[in-house]
Amino acid sequence: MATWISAISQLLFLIIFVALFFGANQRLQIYVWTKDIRAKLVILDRMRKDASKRTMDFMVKNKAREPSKLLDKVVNFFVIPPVDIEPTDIIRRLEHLFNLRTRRFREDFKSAMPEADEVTRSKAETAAEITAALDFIYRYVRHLLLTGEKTKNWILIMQLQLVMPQILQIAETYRKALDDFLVGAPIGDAAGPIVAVRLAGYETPWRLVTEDTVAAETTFEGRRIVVVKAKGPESNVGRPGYATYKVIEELVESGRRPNLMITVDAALKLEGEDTGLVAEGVGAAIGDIGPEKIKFERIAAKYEIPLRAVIVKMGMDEAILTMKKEISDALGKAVERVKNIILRETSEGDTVVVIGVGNSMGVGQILLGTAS
Amino acid sequence: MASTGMPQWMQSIFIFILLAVTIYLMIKQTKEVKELQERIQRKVKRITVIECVDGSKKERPYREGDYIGLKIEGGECGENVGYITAIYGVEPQPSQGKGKSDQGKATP
Repeated sequence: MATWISAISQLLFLIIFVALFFGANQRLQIYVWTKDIRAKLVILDRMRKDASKRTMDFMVKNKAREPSKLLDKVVNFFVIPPVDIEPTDIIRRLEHLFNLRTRRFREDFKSAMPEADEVTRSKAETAAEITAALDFIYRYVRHLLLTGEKTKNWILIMQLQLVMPQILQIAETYRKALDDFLVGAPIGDAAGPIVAVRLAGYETPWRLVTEDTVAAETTFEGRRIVVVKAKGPESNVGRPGYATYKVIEELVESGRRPNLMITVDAALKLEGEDTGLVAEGVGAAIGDIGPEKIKFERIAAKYEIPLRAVIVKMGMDEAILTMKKEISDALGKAVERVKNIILRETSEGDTVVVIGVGNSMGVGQILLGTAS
Repeated sequence: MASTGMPQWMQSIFIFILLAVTIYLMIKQTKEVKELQERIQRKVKRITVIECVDGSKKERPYREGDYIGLKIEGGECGENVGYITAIYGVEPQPSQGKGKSDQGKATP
């Protein structure tokens, strides 16, 4: 009996030894990785279906017409990036395409949810965009896995397996953000608009500069402060660059060239840094893909206006989830920092433009010509 | 052919360890998935901060429709007027120990 066992175990070891030469270890490794990716893909699938259901429920609750058709349209919507080998006027082309996308979505939601107010519609729109993002993550991971299996590309599968924890983390943040957006409370990214509102004062009336961006005027220590932010309390980032450009041109026309521009925004912290850290610098603090940021830089360069930036640091997840207390507490320091810059770098009688960049969800204002 | 030289009792222990590690990894993965589900379904406690014109500061649970800059007449500020100046979320404490949770405990 012992001889047989010994013979079988020796044969097995020989088979394993020979198999190693033919890459059996790699195949086994790929099998384990693939199983792991598939298990995580199930989680991603569950997240996207769950997000889709939550968004649908919200739209149905708010009497949307053909919500599944609308959600399908948003999920499968795409933007073809402009030609970049010819960079002339690329910003204008990029801006045109993204404005078209925003307008298309807004009009679709307006016609599908005619009875809902602006805040509810913006919530539904953002929820649909988050669902689209989760759906894309799932489809893209599945695509990489199937391509890796089909082409027996173990490097692709290995890379995918290594980044899966990060992908899951991003998907998890989006999924949580969906619930927070449907509630309507301010998110971390609202740091800029909140600083703008606190600086302007709660009783100051605001006027519409563009369709979804507002401006208000106030005074501080003999300086005239013009504050710009996205219109709230709906989920909206507005067009701060375009609105600031317009406001500054108006000020220059009336003979009051601004002496200082300050952008305030939430910024991603590095791992290990504290949440809510306030820092200042030079340049336009805005996280867009280009069209809005370049407008700040162009108008500042055109009239030689010093362009300063104040940022409130936070993690990526903290920026799109309900604002944390640490961030809320840091906003007072950010307001003080803006005031210090104004006092230090301008004189009495000067004009300063402060732009609160970010999503204005849960941050309202008294709008001229409306009740609230 | 060279013998592995591994006695039977050692082979048994080796197989047992392999089995234990496999079971451990399976349980760990299941636990990770469960924890992820729990994290997604977290309930954030949202607080609305109201500053009244008399300088007092009040806090209350967030209500749907609250937003920063909203004028509050009466209510928390009594006969005075106030404004919502902050809204923030407080994450529930993560589960402590084996399956124990502090959810449901009285908070000061």
